[in-house]
Amino acid sequence: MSLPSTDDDPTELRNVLERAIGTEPPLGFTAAEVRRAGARRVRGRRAGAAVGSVAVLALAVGVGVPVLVDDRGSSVRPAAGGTSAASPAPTTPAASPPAPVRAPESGEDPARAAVRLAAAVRLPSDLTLRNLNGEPGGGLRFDFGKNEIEDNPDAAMEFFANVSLTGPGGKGFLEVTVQGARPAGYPKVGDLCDDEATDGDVDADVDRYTCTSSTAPGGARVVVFELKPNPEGHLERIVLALRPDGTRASASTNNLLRDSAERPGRTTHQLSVRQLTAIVLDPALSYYP
Amino acid sequence: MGAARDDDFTAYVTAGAGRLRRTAYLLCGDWHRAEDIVQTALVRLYASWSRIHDPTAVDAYTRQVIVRVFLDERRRSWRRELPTERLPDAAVPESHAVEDRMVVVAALARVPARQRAVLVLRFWEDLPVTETARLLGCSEGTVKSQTSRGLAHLRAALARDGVVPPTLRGQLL
Repeated sequence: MSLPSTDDDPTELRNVLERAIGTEPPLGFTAAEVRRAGARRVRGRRAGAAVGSVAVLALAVGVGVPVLVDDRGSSVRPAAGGTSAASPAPTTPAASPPAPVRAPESGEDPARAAVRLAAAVRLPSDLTLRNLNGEPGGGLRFDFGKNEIEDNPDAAMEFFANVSLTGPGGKGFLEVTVQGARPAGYPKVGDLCDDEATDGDVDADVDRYTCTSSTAPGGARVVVFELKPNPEGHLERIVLALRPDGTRASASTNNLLRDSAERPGRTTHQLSVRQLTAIVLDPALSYYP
Repeated sequence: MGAARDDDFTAYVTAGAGRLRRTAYLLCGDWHRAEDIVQTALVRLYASWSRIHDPTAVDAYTRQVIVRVFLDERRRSWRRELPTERLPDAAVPESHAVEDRMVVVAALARVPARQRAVLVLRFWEDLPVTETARLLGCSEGTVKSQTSRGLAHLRAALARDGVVPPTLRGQLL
């Protein structure tokens, strides 16, 4: 028996992880100690916030920059076109002070790039977009972060948008990503359709996916993955564009809204290969402005 | 924080600290570091406790902080996490159970940290791809590829000659 593949029964690996734990040492702290440390942190943060607020206000007045303050007390700048790129208030507070996010190599502000990319994706008009909680959304919304492949600190940014699509034939899922060039030395894992053009720089689970590739007129290598027929009726189609400048864009659809454990939401593909290819090859869906 | 909220927080820590530490241990492979990570996470949780209105979000929040603290610590210092090519002599096991444990811990240490985090979140915490992606701040596609690579790394680490004991060989290879 082997370790599970992505969609296999996860209990086998869980059993392996349980073996790693073995006998636990007694816990070395108490809830009271944590509370005391937490109280100190709150006091320190309040003191720091008071100083910080004065500094931000002084800066705003001094240079005439409009500063918005969201309901968490964080200051945000309006993005391009007057649309705030700040995330909606989460149901939970931020887990930690946000790590500085490196802008794309062009120097473009990532929040602004996210808005630009959202406008670049054109979808058929007969589809209704909802967020992953099933709520009607205002369209595709890109989040972003560093794609910390292999923990490489030089990793590029990745923009990604996930949305539920409802249209003729049922519900499905769409993900669109745009990624910066991979760092030098990025490990060549997988073997893409025996495709020497991409030097094996794409993961391909050839047991589960068929894979074809071609070169688009602009020089981008276009790779199409299709999930092979399976008893669960899962459908997945991924189109990936490897652009000459090293950046990537992908568009994928499946008939599951969240996870492979769910019941398929439709029995046919929602977007054709041609439609997905048009999305990833659209010059507007570019990592660079 | 009010007394009632303090009581709630205490109850949460009392009930959950051990479980959270196990998750942290699977990430870092060291009980002391795991405890530090969990303490850091719980202190941050306390500071945010009054702002969390959805009780079901507490675990998600704490889990997120644990993973971030672990990954941040990894970024700041590489000294603690050099993969071991061979188990140290001191770890020579006396029983199959201990041997199994050391083998898996050593193999996990060879999996790159972010891939390890994905494996732990998906297969230990039973999080779906969507939630794992949200927690790590990356795309679902990245989670899937990191899962695939993490499993490949783990499989390769376990397969090294002389590392996989007979008790695990049949199950994992």
